[in-house]
Amino acid sequence: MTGYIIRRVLLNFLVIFILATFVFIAVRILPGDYTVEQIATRQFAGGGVEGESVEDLMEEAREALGLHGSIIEQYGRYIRDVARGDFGISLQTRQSTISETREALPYTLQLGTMTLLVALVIGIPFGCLSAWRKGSRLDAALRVTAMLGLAAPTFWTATIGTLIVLETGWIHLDVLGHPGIWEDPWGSIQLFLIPAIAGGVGIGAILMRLVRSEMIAVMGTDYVRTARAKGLAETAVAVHHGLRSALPTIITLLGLLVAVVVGGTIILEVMFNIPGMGQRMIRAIGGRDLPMIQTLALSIAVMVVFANLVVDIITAVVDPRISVSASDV
Amino acid sequence: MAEDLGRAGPEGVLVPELVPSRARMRTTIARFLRSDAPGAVGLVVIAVMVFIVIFGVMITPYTKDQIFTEVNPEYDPRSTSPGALAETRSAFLAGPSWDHWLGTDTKGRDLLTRLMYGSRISVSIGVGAAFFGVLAGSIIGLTSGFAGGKVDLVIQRLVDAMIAFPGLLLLLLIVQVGERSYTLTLLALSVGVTFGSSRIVRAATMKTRGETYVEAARAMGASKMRVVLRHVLPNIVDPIIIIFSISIGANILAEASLAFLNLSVPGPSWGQIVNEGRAFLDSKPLMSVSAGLAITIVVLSFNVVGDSVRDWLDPHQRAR
Repeated sequence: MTGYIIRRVLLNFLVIFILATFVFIAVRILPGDYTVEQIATRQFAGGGVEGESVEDLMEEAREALGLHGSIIEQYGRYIRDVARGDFGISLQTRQSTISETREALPYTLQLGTMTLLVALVIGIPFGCLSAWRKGSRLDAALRVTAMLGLAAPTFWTATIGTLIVLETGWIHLDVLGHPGIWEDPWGSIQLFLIPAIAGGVGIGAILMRLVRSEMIAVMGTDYVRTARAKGLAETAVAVHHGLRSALPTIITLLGLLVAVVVGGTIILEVMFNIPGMGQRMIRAIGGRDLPMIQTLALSIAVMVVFANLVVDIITAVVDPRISVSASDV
Repeated sequence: MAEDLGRAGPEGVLVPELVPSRARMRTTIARFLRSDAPGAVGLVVIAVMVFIVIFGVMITPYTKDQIFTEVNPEYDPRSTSPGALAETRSAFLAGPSWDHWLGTDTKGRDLLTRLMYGSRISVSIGVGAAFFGVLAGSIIGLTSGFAGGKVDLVIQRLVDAMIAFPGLLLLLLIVQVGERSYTLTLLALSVGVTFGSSRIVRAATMKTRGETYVEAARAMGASKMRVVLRHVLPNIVDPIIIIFSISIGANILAEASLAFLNLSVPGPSWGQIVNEGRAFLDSKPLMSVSAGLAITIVVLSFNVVGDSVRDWLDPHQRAR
């Protein structure tokens, strides 16, 4: 078990290294001079020193951005800085990108957690219900709903949700104040509710389909028949024998869904003016704020990688077969 | 009857008929329609959609950028307010009428015409990205699975890293490198499909690699290229078709998300139409609602048909 965890952690560091390299390449494909030129002219417009040419300013800006030297040198410097935790300064806000990210993190975590909760509340009970009543009208209706939930774009369900809220006034959306969970818990939950439901419906649909097919497969096995034969109540059979053995598969899927949830929060944060990592990412892309894009992309990716690590470990605990058979991972 | 069993080859040997006869095609389609009603409905919707994609622009009497005007109800030549001086004004979010079935958009353009143009972007990018993505994924998966050893190890760790990226984040990172364009969006979505599909192709390749017919081909001295193309590839076509058909719907959704963020193709993309209409949601929701509904219906149809294709090619899945 310990060996398995150590192997997984080491593997994750490798994955993060590759991710960092990818982010480096992605942010640098566009000739860096476009950005440098912009910064230089901006500084120039803001009243440059007499006698200082744009050329000099560009050289300075390159230095500031770490875009000087050959691409290999730049890469070396970048990896060293990342390893040290030095991510540079945002071009837009002039703050350290890592502190910006730290400010944004709670919002994204809150939205992500709420989304996942909605997905679980929808996915597991309805998936079980659908499997239990397999072939019935209820099953058909649930499956159609799941297909609709998969097909409707998140931003559209959120739009419709907003429309309903505006019409009925059930919830107060404090879009301008975007309260955090610690300052104004109730206001915060109200604001996050519509986006969480909009995001959770699609993910809940994926989960529901998996829970249904897993439960149908498990409930057809011999040991479930044995459990029934010895007179256990149907719910006890479903929960202790059915859901219990479907659990590793469900947890594994949840791990994969973390990436989907995080991706989904980006668009929802923009829509509801939630100052999380996604909204900052879009703003950084709009302003070609390279250090900020770099830091956010890497932090989001690292978050997902570690969430997956946690999920893998939980799966190994829940299903002892894994840590034994996965020795080749 | 001999026709059904096969036809005589050049040397008089009976060669099994590989191309299904037209009659057999017909019964296959009829059986499909009977056994899988949702798939059939989805297929019909897709057929209608393809018709709109190709001919819609020819049917509509308007162009996508044509701005319509209406009589200004506040018209008063003596007034001092600037809004009241013109006799006409652009038909801002006009309601449905015989001339404009879905009304006009925020700039006074015919909404239905713009949705028809949008269908071209959504469907072509959705299908195109599935094609290129699965193609690239197949090449990577085949190489990795067939080569095995160190090559496989290196490729798989790269794929691990890329899969860890949330889909939309990966798209954003690719899209941010340049100006908004069709090619860039197509490229980003293709990359999004590539890594996931390479996993599936790799698994299928590894399963096939151990089969006796591959071993036999190798023993006969066939080159690696020949083994891959003539013996492995034909046997993993089914999973490749399945991932292709299943990823189309997801691609259309992803394109819509990018368009919603104003980061996709410039023009009347469906996601962008939802976004433009959002500001006037409480008074005139038709614009956002109709564009969103268009996305939902098309994605739903592609998903349903994708599921049918999977059930058809991989009956194991259906049994569950």
